[in-house]
Parts: sequence; C-alpha cells; structure tokens
Amino acid sequence: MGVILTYLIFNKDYSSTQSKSVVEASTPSIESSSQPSPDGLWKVLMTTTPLASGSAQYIFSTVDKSNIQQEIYSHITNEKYMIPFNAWSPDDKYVFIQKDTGEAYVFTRSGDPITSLESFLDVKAIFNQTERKDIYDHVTGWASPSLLIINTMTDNGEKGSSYWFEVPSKAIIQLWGDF
Amino acid sequence: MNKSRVTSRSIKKYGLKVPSLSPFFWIGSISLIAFLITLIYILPNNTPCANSKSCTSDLTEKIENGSIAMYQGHTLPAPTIDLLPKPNAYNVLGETTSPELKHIYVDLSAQKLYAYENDKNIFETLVSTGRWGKTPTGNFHIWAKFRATRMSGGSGDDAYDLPNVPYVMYFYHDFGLHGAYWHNNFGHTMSHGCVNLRQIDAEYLFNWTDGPSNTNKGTSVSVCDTFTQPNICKQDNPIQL
Repeated sequence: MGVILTYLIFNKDYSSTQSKSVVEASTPSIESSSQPSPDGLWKVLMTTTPLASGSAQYIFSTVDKSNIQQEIYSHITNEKYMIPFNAWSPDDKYVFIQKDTGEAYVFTRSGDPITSLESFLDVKAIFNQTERKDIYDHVTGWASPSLLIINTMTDNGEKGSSYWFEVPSKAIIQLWGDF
Repeated sequence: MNKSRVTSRSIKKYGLKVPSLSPFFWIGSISLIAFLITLIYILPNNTPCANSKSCTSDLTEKIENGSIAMYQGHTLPAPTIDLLPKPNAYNVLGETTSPELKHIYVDLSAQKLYAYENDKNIFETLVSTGRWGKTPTGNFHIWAKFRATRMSGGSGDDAYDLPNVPYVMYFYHDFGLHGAYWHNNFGHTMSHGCVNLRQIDAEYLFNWTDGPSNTNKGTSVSVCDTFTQPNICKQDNPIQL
C-alpha cells in the first residue's frame, strides 16, 4: 500500500510539472500594435505571434469604430514588419505596411484585391522593374489619396530623388527634389 | 503796430534767424506728410503669407460642407464639418490647466510637435511644416481659433484650394497649426508655411489650446529650428514681435 501511495504522489507531482511546462510552451506572447487613420475612423492592427522556429506570424487587420475587424494579410516570416505612422491614405481607402528593411506593401482597407490580378502591391518590386539608377529605400507616406512617396538612395550611398507611386495604376513619377 | 515788424525786431534782439517762409511751403509740407501717412496704411503689408490667396481676404471661420478641394492638380472631397459637440467628448490631453502654463513647441528639423503643461510633456506627434515657403521661427501666441476655414494659394502645378481645413489655430498672421486631410506624409515638410497635423492630433490640440482672452494671450507657440526637451528651443532668425 505504501509503495502504491508513494508512486501516486510522485507521479502526481511529475504530471503537474509536465502540465505546467506544456502550458508555458503553448502560450507564446502575442504582441499587437496599431495605427489610427488620420481622421480617427479606422485603425490598422498588427498582431505578432512568435513561433517555435524563431519566425513569427504576422496578421494585419483593419478595424472600424465599432471594433469590427477585417483581416487583410497574414504572413509567417523571420523578417520584421511594422505599421508606419503614415500607413493610411488620406481618404482611408488604402493602407500600407512596411518591413524594417524598407519593403512596402499596399492593401485596400477592405482586403479586397487592389487590382484585378493582385491582392496587394509590392512597391519595391514594382519600382525595381523600372530599372532606374536610383535605388529604392523606403516609402515615407501619402502625398495624396492615391500617391505614395518613395525615397531612394544613389549607388554611392547618398540620398537620391523621391518618386510618386500611384495606386492602383503603379505609375512611377520622379519628383523634383526629395523628401 | 505791424506784427511782422515786431517779430523781426524780436528775432534780431535775441540773435535768432528765421527764414521767411512762403505759405505755400507749409501747405506743401503738410500735404506731403499726409500723403506719406496715407501710403503707410494702404501699401501692402510686409507680413509674409502662408497661403498667398486666402491670406489677403479676411481670416475668419468658413464652413463649406459639400465642397471639393484641389491640391497639386488632384481634386478630393473636403471633409464635412459637424459643429455639434461630440457625445461623451472629453479633453484627451488631460485636465484643464491654467492657460499660461500651456506651451507648444514645433521642431522644424525633426518635424515634430510637443505640447507641454508647465514642464511636463503631455503630447507629441509628427507634423509637416513649410516646404514651399518656410514656417517662421519665433515665439508666438495663438491669436485665433477656427473650427474650419478655407486656405488657398500657390500657382501652376502648386496651386491649391482647400475648403474646410479643420481645427485651425493661427499663431502668426495666417500661419497656423491645423489638420490636413489632403496628405498623410507627416514627419516631412509638405506645407506652404503652416504646421500640418493629422486631423485627430489637430482636434486634440484644438480642444486643449486657448485663444486670447481679456486676461491672457493665447497659448504660447514656439517654432524652433531645433528643439531639445524640455524647453531648449534654438531659433536662428526668429521673427521679432
């Protein structure tokens, strides 16, 4: 009887510890950040869930004043995303997110496809297709409801020209001066 | 006795020499002075303008719902201005403070704005100051607050006509803090001299700042070439008021 009781006690302790470990391993810390639209009617929300592999799952949603969320994009990566201060177009129709390496992606607020063939626009990839001397650096914000501003670098590391990137036509227009 | 003779003798007695002046001299002098005084009042004011067209008209509140704005060759609908107080509105920037303890600093190099109550930083955000026309540096006070007004100026590709510019706080002639609904590129110069803010940030400040009263000047606004917290505002060539 004593042997049986002893076994049960130690087994219970082990089970509790094991359960506790399992609970800790299955509850990664989820971080979230958001940016309101300039008029305060919407916000874009980013939730970041670290994964065991060292990468993270990023989920982007737009949220209205009634707190109704609409997921617009999800990606598992070991790169880092951020929501820039100027994420929203002035008319709240588009939102762009950015990686810490400067790549920018433009979405519709609703998550609907931004063109007939694309669910979002990869600004850097489109800029690079134009084969310009200036090297894409990052997007600063919206010059108007449909124009993003791209900042560039020259190949000797100096600041290059700025460009407008028109959404959704993808037209790229060099500007006089830079931002 | 002849008055002129008496006058001449008196002058000779005391060694004074007064030229005899024609009445026409006096008429001409007075006319010239009057003309110069008139010119001072009718000549164009040398105070610079932020908005080259709207600054020449009266700077008053204008609500023009349903209007269309034009900016850099693009048109967009101006926001609807609702003058009714918002339900459950509250002062986002905290408790009401004595007007003289409030101070706004604008850092032109960093494109940031800081709001202080006494020595406590209660708010900071990104702004867009003058790109086509420098925002003047100096120490000012908010002299007028308008829920919305129209701003227009520029020419050619740079022409703009913006009705219902929201939450306007003029601090030096028609240079003011206000919301901007036509761009979202804060942290970079974009304006013709005014300090552009996100509409929500302009609303917070509008509800917190004070205009002039019988006992106080409006909330202090210092525009700095560079600003180091809590209160080091470097101004290279400030406007002297």
